[in-house]
Amino acid sequence: MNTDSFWLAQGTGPSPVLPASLAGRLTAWRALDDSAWRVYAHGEPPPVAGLQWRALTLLLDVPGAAPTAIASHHFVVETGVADQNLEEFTAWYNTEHAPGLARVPGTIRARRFALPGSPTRFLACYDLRELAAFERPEWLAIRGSPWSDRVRPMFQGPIRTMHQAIPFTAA
Amino acid sequence: MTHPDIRVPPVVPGTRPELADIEAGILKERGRISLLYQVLLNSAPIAQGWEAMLTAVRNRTSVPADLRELIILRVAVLNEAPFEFDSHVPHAQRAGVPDDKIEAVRELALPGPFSPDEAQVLALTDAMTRDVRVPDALMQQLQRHYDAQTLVELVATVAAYNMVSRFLVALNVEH
Repeated sequence: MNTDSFWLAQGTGPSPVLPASLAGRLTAWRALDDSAWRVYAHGEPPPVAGLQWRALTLLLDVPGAAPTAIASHHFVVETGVADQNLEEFTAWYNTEHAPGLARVPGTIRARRFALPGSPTRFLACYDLRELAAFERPEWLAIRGSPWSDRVRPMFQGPIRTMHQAIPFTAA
Repeated sequence: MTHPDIRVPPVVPGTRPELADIEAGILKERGRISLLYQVLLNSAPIAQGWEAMLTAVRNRTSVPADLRELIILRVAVLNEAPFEFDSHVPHAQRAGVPDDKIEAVRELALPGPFSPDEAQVLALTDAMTRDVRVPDALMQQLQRHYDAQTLVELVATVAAYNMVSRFLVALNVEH
């Protein structure tokens, strides 16, 4: 069994019903506006009705300022990038942006993934112990850096979504 | 299932004849011998005393079940004990705690969607867990609201689940 693999199932509509017995193996989130949900598995995903798993490729995993806290929110930026910009985009993400946001008080971890079957489409995921982390001056400062101003126009079709946890259900 | 990160070996139920009575008692109250109790069973007196104390806190007090489960979830958040949190979400749901409150209790900032009574008890939980000391003003509110028995039971619930989460975190008991 590959315990370091990451998997994603996502959809729209009502959140999936997840039994409490899977709480340690899955993390489940719904968009704040209820428009969509997503479930991650770390390690081989268990079969769950209604979930179709796609393998993610982990590109970056940075422990945050609150590395052991319980996450209340999960912020995801999915975006494409043109081939000619990929190198700078990757350097910015891996050296400045994701590590910078990870250092913000209240960030639990920052991760980047490549999506399967689309070599130039990426996820950046941030686990937060509270929504307020997202509005802290430290967070805004990282977002507003000169390098960020240069790289952000390279994003193609970005989708930014804040999520909150879906509680697992009693059997 | 193996648990390589736990700092003592969990005791597999049924493998130590001298623990049979204690295991039967745990099964009777809990319905199963959870990973926490498998760890506790390394010490028979601690497992026995723990089971008696936690059964009193969970099953014998006059604290309403939904309030009790909110306290437990909150202690787990503050002490960063995800095993405790995840284990108690189903109990909270069965006690009638709605999902929006289960989500809100993860947030450091209170009160969110909580009723005044819930917010007051969560404030007690936060004070005891984060600062140890409880401000006089908060305690006076609680004294006006609850009789001595319930107040003892509320404070003991916060204290007992601080014991649980600190034990889990110290020994790396996770899923």
